[in-house]
Amino acid sequence: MRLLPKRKREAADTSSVAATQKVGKAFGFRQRWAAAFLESPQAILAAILLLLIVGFSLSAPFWGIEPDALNLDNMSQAPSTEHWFGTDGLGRDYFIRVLYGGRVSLAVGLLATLTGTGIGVVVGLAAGFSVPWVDSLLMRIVDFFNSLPWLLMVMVVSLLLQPGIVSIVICVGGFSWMGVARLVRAETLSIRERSYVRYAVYIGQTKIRSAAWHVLPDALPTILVAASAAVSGAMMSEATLSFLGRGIQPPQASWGQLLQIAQGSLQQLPHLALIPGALIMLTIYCLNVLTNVTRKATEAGQ
Amino acid sequence: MLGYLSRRLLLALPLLLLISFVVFAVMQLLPYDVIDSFARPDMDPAALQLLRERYGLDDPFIVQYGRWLWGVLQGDFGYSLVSRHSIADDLLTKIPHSISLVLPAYLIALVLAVVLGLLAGANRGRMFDTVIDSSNALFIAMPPFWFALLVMYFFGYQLRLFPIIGMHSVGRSDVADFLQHLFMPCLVLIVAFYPDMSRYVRSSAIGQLNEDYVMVQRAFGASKREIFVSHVSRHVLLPVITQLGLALPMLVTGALITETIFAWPGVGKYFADAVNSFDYPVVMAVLLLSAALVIIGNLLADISYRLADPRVRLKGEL
Repeated sequence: MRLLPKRKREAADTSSVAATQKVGKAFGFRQRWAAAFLESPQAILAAILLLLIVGFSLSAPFWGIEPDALNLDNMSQAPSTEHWFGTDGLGRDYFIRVLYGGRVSLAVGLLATLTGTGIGVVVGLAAGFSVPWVDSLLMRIVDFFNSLPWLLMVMVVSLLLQPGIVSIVICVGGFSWMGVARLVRAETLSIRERSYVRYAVYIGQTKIRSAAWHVLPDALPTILVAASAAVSGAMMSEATLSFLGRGIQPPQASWGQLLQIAQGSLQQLPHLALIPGALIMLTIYCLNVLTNVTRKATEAGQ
Repeated sequence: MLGYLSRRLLLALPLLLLISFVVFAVMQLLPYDVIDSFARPDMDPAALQLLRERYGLDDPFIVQYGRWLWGVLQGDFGYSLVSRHSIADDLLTKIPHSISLVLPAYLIALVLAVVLGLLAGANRGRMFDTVIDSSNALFIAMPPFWFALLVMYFFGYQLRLFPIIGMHSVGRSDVADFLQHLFMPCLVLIVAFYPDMSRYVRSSAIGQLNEDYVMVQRAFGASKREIFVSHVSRHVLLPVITQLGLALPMLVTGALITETIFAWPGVGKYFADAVNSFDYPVVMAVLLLSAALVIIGNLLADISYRLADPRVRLKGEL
């Protein structure tokens, strides 16, 4: 075991290995997940909070407040009944900016995870299921990406792309697929020896078809745990990049980008920094709790 | 062992070459160059063109890369295009700055994590363990730069206990002044490093409790304290210590965000500033240094693991 760097933390916790009887008895993955979910009050609370955060973020256009409307008579207000989170240095309503920022942060988290997991699954399946030289070539590429100092690299690559949601999704997703690829490769190597996969290959199904129809479904729970952990990682990466000024650019907002702006007026307006940061932390915490439920359900099935 | 070492080092060279090539290509693809970063609209285009030629920014990509590589092979990283300082000299002053911030933070975090993680593992399920485990979960979810802003606000602006930015006050270079500047960024880094390590120590301590040797010790009537102090802790610490090599690159660039926030004059801030001003020789030098440290760190970790545990066979070793 290695002392894991931050981005690989999902593998470290073994405390959930001891899944309880009830979870172990349930048959399908979904039933096991539901059992693991329902027996943890923490998970239920996390799900409710997460639904609230997502719901509020999605509701942003329905509040009838313009996120970019300047109001120079009303700059730098503390929270009040009229402006729940106060106003920022340009007199914009901060509550609505936080809601719109949440949309961007959550969207980037999801899309970057889809990108990263997608690349990882394809690379992992290809490496595990095809001829040895492809396998070792792909694994060398994984090694190459792993030996890049990712934050430095992402900062350089972000210069190359037009700033915005798409480029940040590419940056974060494109540098976070290696873990999933390794995981899927390992799973594939074991699954492909099972009799039904060997039979499928024997009766002449193409490799791609066997991989997609027979190997992938069995590897799905493992992929799900990795993807679930990746969402919080991606959200943290987006926030970091935007905070460093290399992510979402104004007037568009994300939680990390709001923090970057808030840094400049920290002394006068600390609540501008407090609110988006607290929301990032809460969201990531809830996501991690739910990831643990998924992991428990997966491990109970093995 | 020696053969293994030389083989790994030989494999590392093409990897570094590849990384440098890719980064150089990315920098070349950028629509701007360093001249754009300080050009003003009223400057004469002909003069700007002359500057480009002088810096060699006009030459074809391969020529520029070859020139840069030739320099690096001779230990010359070139000059910053913005400040015109020698990059090697800059790095020699900035690397110690970064190390003086990261090393104490890393060691304090490590000691805290080992002590608290083992105690939590020994008291599994009790109050103490619950507190440690849930605080770890919270710390892991906390963005370090947000924590840095909170620390800056409370200790710096509200209580006015510590200076907000820099490493020294103007005109002072004594240790007390340095420590005052060190406190806040160091605290932020400790909180950033600690939770992962602590969680790792706790869960591997819990994992060890299921091992046969613990049962044997119990059967012979050893107290829980004895089992933990002289047996479990060794098994938990061995991987922790042998894997210290993986932290090597962090010494130099691990504090990038913290250094940027607190204007700590280390390598991280140097790099961030260089990226923002398209100062590509600096970006290249730091990236290459960092990639080299990642590779050396991995190698160190593998070797020390091999030395600590003779049962381990390294890939490619007979």
